[in-house]
Amino acid sequence: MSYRTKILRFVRHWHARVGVITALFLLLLAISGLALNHTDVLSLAKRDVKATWLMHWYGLKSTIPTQGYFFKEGYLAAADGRWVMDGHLLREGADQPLVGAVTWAETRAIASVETLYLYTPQGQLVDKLSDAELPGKPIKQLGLAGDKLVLETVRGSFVSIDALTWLQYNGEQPIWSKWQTLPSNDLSEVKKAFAPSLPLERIILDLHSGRIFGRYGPLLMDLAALVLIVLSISGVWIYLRIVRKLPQH
Amino acid sequence: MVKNTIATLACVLLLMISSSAQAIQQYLTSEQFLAEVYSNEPSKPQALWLNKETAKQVEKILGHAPNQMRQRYWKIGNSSAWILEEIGKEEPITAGFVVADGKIAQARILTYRESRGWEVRYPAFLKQFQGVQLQADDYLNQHIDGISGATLSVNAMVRMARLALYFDKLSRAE
Repeated sequence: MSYRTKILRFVRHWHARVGVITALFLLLLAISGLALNHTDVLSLAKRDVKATWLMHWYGLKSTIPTQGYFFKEGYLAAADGRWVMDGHLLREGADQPLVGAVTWAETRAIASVETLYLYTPQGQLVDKLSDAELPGKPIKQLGLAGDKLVLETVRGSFVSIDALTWLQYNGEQPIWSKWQTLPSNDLSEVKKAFAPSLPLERIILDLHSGRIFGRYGPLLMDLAALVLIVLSISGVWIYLRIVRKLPQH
Repeated sequence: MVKNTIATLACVLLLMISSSAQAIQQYLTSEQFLAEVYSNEPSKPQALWLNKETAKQVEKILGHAPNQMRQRYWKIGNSSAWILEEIGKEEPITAGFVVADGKIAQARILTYRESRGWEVRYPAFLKQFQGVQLQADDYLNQHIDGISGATLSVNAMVRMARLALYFDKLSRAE
């Protein structure tokens, strides 16, 4: 057996074995890359993953609130910018602290420091009032005076029958909504609603870059990329060798 | 050499900070917009409620469910003013529209939050909306020229213009 044939055999032998091992990484890179190329179509950023083992792997822990605001029927709990009403996610990424929530007419009024939200009991947004739509801000408290909505702001207290126009309020002490302890029977659904989650896009990005495998993950993917480069060169080399050996017609 | 590199890096960093700070631009508050529109006649806000049928039509116009079920507006005589929000690519654009006799009389950008496409605030672009009406199929009766690099913001403005005209039609029917 000639020296050249020996080298060809050696390269083919290792090209095949390393190729099989690296195929897994190639598949991972190709599939995750395809998905990331179509993030919008696949709505990856909007899909939340809550799998406990994965959240545990990421080291994510959630803050479970034990207190909230009460409506006539139902409650509102908030933590880490997440608002949960009756066990359902109402808002994510809320950057202002809550100051009150009450049942008002057919709606549920929820006030943060800068904004007043009106929701249906099913969680559909009816109206959002901020800036000039409010009689003043920051809002300090939210309450009721009979069937009227009352806001206490730094400019004083204001009352409204429709949340469109506001009048200065000097009447009797309104009933201000208060942060209260949630009953234990609601806690299990609160726990579920506040379970940590990550957008699918982030997980696929971490898979693609190797970060999901920890500190040395990106190095592992770098190594896989280098091996793929070597494999593509060895593949071309083997092909050329074989083609040259084939009988010419 | 090292000093030059540090200076260049500092400049790049400053540019990055200033460009990110430019991401949210409030050109006009809603108060200023309304003061401009109804200079000497402050108008009380009114509310337009959506029902199942109208919400469906709004969904057709926007391509997604309505943001809220109650839309406030201001009305004097035959003209109505609407402050609407719609996402261009990722962030909502706040725009004000004045509709008079079923035609857009004025369109303004109040707050722009996207990192690209802010050219939609230029009067040259906004002028195109003047006199535009709604067709029977709830599309605009005139073509709005796009701006390269701002396609999604232009599309959002067109959707909001259609919505303002549709809301005005509803408010006049009430």
